Amino acid sequence: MSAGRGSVATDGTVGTLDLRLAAGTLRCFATGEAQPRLQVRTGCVPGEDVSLRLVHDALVLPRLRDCFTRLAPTRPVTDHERLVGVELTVPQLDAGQLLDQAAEALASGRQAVSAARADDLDLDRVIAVLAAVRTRGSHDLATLATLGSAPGGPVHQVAGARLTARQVTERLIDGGRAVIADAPAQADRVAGAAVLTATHGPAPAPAAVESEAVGGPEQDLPIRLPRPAAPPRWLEVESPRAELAYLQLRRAIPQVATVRALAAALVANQARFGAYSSVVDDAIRSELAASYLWDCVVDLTRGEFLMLAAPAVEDADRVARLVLAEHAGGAALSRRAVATARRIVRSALLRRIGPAQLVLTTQSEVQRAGLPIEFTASLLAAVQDVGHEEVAAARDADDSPTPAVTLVLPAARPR
Amino acid sequence: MLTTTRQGRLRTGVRTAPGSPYAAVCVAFDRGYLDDPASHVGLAHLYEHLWFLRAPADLTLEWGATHDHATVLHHVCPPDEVPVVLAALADRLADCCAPSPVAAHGIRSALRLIELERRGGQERRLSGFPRRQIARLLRADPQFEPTAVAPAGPELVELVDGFAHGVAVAVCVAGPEPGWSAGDLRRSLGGAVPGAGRPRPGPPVGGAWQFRAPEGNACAAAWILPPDPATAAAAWVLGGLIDRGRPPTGLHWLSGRVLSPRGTEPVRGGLLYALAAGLDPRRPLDLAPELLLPVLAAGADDLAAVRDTLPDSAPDPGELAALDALSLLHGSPRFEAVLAATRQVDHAALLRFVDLLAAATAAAGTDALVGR
Repeated sequence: MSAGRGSVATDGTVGTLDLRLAAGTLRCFATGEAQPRLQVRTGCVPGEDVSLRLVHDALVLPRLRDCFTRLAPTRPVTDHERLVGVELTVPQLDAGQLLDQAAEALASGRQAVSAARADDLDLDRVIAVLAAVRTRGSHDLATLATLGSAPGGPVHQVAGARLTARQVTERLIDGGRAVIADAPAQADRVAGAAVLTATHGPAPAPAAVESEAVGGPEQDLPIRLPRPAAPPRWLEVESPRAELAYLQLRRAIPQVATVRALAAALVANQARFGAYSSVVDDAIRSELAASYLWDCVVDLTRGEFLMLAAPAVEDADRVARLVLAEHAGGAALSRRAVATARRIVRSALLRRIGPAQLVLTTQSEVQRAGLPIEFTASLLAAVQDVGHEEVAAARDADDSPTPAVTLVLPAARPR
Repeated sequence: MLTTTRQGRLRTGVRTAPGSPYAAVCVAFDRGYLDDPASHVGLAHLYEHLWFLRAPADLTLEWGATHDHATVLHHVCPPDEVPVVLAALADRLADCCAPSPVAAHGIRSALRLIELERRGGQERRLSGFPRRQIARLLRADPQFEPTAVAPAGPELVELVDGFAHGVAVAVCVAGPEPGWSAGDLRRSLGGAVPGAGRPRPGPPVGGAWQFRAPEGNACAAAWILPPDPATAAAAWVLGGLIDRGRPPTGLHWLSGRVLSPRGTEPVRGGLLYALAAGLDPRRPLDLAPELLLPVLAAGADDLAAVRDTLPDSAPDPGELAALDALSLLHGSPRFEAVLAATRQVDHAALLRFVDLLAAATAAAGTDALVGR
């Protein structure tokens, strides 16, 4: 699975190039594929204002696609159906060329933002359409309402009031317009930086560029996870399209300083809140049958666990309370529970480095989170190695704040 | 690469998937939603949910899918944990195949989750392929609802308890270095799946249907094709060409690979292939196979490009194990045979495929045009 320093393992965990330039970062990983693949994402830093992201997607992403289409046909990279970047298969990796292309795409994007005018009706329409499309589904609506409610965000919430989907959409549009009104000053922030992640097969890593050392599975690898501002403790949004309630609970990953500590935290979290066979999953899906959906996603770019449920409206509070109660207390973890949780965390990680396309997505997330190139290989080794006592200790030492709850509810429908 | 065994109603398969970082174990029962009794439509889907409530419930990453003629349970784990997972699955299989009624509480929970799943699906209703209509045609029942919630009651408990009795079961493992053969796997599971399987009827191979799709001015057609690698390969390559090109004149959109990314879906005794198209309103509502001919006008470069990209989308171990299990249950061709056959697909092979569709459509006659 993971390989030591200098290994030629081709499972997509071994980085062969880690380059940071003004335009962004480029990392390469060895896989068994015949042709190199490249994923390019641009954008703002985690925790950045969602209005900036809206303008970014309207003005910068099309230029990113145009620039890289000159190298090879591009395929869209999406996140919950939202376009977030491009992917392409290239004949060979030329690091200098790729970073030049990224610099050109960003410069073009910055120029477009600087030249944007508040009275440009076409641009205004694009912003409005993007905001409307992205607040249609319950998941995206909950995400944008939550992230937009961060301090300084466009979705201002009056304490205790329930937002409507229309309000969220309108405030996002207003936020986008405010960014455009101040476009020249905002251009750098809107364009952000480029994150280029590549895989290559038998061919060697890009030459003629100074390469940093290739890392092995060092379990004490120091790490620092991003820590954006905490979302509102409780947020409710009404959606005219929702059929069931939809819950998003955001729980900060406990503060950890090494990959091994993170591995213990991940296994403990899986045993308590994970999507399969956890305390919460058993209660919500097996005992109460309150939600067919229970998922717990690790978001490294925001340093948080994102938990998802789709209960009936009358069960939504009960599901949220159950999660909050487990966070506040809960029983100690048995050896069997830890063994199962470790198997599940390992399986999930291994699946994320299976197909080369997933390698790109996984390593891009690591890269955007600012984590070291050796992170994935080290984490896999640590998860396999971490024992019951360490996991139990990590669970007891978990001092993360109370999870933030966002609840989407079906709006009352006209008779 | 792949070893298989058949004994009684148990089929086993072990496949080496070099380079895969994880392993998959697939359990598939030869009963799907098309086999549900008329009184309890939704039974196979319920059975799929109940599988995960059986002891030991805390196992690994696992999920299920109810197919036309199979209930498929996926389990993924690190390669070194396959023995642990197999031992647990042997317990579950023994529980399924012995007269030990499942707890009524489990059935109530599963039925409630299925109802929630159904309501949740209404919010994110997918446009595109008329899967429900295809199921109705194959079942010959215009009211058939493949996502129905089976009615609760004592009879349901009995039906669940008897679901797997006499049903063929396939257990397939795919992973980087399984370290044992299909025979070893059979020996480790044989006691859990005793007896012989009953043959079950499938849809008629050669069947063809055309029908109106539910939304928009769309038309769809479905065929049951003979299960040979060349036919499956032609369907897969044609799907790639359809995706690559523009829709033929008169069609707003055309899709020929929605059933499965591999172009066809195994059903009992055959391969289900389907096309759907958005039609110009001035055109009669009819999706004749001849409409595919413009797709075949693509140049040799396009055909070569499609053929070259197919191996890139090779299945992961989870999908491979499921394909192997369906192949063992339904006689569909093995994946590597289909992949090898794609290298032989040329323009003439695609023309033969379209001729096959046209001949089946002609043989079915106007009775096959549903919804006019």
